[in-house]
Amino acid sequence: MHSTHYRYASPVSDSINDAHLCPVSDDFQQCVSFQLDFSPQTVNVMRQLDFYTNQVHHFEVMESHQLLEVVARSEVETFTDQRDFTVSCPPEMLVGLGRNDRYYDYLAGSQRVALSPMIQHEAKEIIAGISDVRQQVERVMGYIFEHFEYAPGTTHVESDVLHVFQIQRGVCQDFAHVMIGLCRSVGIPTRYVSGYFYVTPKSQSTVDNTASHAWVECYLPNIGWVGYDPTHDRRTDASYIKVAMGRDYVDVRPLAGTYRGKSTVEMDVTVSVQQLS
Amino acid sequence: MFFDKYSTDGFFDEMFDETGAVRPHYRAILERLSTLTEDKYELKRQAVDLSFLRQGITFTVYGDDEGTEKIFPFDLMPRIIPQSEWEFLERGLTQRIQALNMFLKDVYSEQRIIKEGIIPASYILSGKHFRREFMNVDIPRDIYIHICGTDLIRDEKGNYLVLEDNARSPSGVSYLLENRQAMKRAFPTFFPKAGVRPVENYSEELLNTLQYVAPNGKEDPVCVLLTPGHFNSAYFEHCFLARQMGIEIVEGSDLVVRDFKVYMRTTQGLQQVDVIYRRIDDDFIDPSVFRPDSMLGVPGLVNALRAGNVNIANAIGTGIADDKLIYAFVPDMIRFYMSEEPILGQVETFFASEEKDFTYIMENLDQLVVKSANEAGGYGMLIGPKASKKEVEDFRAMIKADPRNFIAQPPIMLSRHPTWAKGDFEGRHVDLRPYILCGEKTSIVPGGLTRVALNKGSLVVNSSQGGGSKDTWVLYSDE
Repeated sequence: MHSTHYRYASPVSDSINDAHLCPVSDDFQQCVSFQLDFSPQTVNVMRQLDFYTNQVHHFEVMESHQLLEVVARSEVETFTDQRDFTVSCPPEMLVGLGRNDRYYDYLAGSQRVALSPMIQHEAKEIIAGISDVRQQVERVMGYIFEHFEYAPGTTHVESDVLHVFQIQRGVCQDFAHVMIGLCRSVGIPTRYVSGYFYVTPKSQSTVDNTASHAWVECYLPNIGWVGYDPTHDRRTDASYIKVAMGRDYVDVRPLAGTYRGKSTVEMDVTVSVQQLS
Repeated sequence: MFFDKYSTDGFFDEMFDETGAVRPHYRAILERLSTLTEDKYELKRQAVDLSFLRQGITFTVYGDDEGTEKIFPFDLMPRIIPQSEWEFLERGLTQRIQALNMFLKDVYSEQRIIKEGIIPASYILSGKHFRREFMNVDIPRDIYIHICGTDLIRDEKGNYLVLEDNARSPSGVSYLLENRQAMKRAFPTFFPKAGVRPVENYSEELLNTLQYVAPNGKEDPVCVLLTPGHFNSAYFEHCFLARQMGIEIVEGSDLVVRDFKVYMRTTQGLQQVDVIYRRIDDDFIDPSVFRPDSMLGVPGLVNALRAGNVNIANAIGTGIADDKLIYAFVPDMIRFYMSEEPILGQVETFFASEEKDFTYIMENLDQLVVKSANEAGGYGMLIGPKASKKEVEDFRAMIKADPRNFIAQPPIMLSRHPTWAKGDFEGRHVDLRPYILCGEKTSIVPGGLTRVALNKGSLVVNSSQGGGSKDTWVLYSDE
């Protein structure tokens, strides 16, 4: 369950939003059910696929309101990734992918992840001497995990990759952006994934207790798209639920929109993930 | 006598052939002018200028301190196109607009042209005006470009070449219509005898086009013109066209979206709008989708489009078709979608983003025309042979920093046309922008806006850069 409350200091109207809240169905997970509820209930909703084939719910709340509540409930079945990760991933197989429509967007710079000579230089140093793409990606992930400090409150949702690089601190969203920047600048197609991370009640996660999470997927030759979580330094598995993917955070914001009215807003997000079986 | 000292200087001249003989379709106007003295001509000229100023036919130059409103200089000597030449242009332009519309339909749905390797995916996806937000949105009658202002030039042999397709929100048609009015007033007895095809039904054709593309073929649809407001350089034109069509001119704040439908605020309450002729760029049209800081647009408009409850002309995302990189592929589009050979030629284009072309561009920068891929109005352009060393080097650095954003073309010696220059006529470079409407049928107003570079030797015809305009006559015959 992913619920979002907006509390406006004074009434607003004509609120027009896009929601990326419906989990994807692919080879590794199946979205069994999805329900989106709103308060106020007088909401018009239209569902569509976006450019990255994510489900988007466009909705408008035209009447005057001071509280907007959006609750997404989904039931998702995840499967274990059975692919062979021991095969070799030669970097030569990445050459020329930038001309292909399936990879171009994940190799070029994007709104929050501008590619710069500085980042490229850094990336080359990190992967120096490694000639297998999978190992390169894992090295980059390890580098972020070792050098960047998980520190909520040091960045905000608008932070871009250069800023995070300078302060070497941030949250999962920032780490994902850094990993995207490093991988793309050495020619590895990498995309941003938003979703949920299931933490078993017993396990004591030292970082990031919220279930709302962000990680990346890298394209590995001979294997395909593989999820990597730089916040936890691990490949993603069946405890990860993928909601949407895109070039960076901007493409997959859970809720984004505009409203009419001069007002300050407070936002509360609660996400809970429960294991059903 | 005029023209005694006139020389074509080796350029292709619209009025005189290489031997200095007047072309048949200019004979009548030459005779008329020979009955005038310099003083009389000057009087006619001043009367026309004054009437433009009085009527407020002005445009805005951005980044100029001396007031924003200027009159668009008008040259009284008309440009004349014989009937057979015009028929050829009509065929070529019709073919081109059809191919561009098929391209847009394809690129925002199946993308066959990418999958079959005709255009590299990276050129499309890196286009500043490719709108991912608009993928798979059904457009009434599959028409994306309803109004196109294609810029044509003629080379030193007189061949017409397409220089660019203005497929976003082309402006200037009001000058075409006003120039004609001015000519009629200046030559009240000669004009009716000159055998010139009329242009006056443009506004009617435009309204027909807008009505034809109403959602679900709705009859008697409500059409409006959406303007960014009076600070826009073409605000005069927006008012002019809305008045001529008899439709409301609105700003973003006059429209609201309810239930994915667009309504206009009126004194009698909300009225649903079916078709919007928008003169606002994509970036500003809907702050909930594009630039959130836009105060000009209509929040929720794109959702109304997605729901099929409203249509806009031109569609969102047509800018990818007039990206200067994509321009180079229009002949391929014509072959790919229509299995025809292109009727109109165009200018050879080098891509700074391609290694081979990049080297060529760098080595020949002072011999080439360099253009920024997404700018319009003559901004962001280098004319190598006329530029200073410093300008060339500045561009070299800019191209290196962002190769995707630049193309280069060999300079074309634009054709020249006799143009009034203090006491007599001299040759000045011209281009031609016909206005193409794509509705139930494709219709092109006979003629177009002839723009002229008023400064001697200049090749830049844009109004913002020292250009003026001429009335353009298409004749009923070839003489």
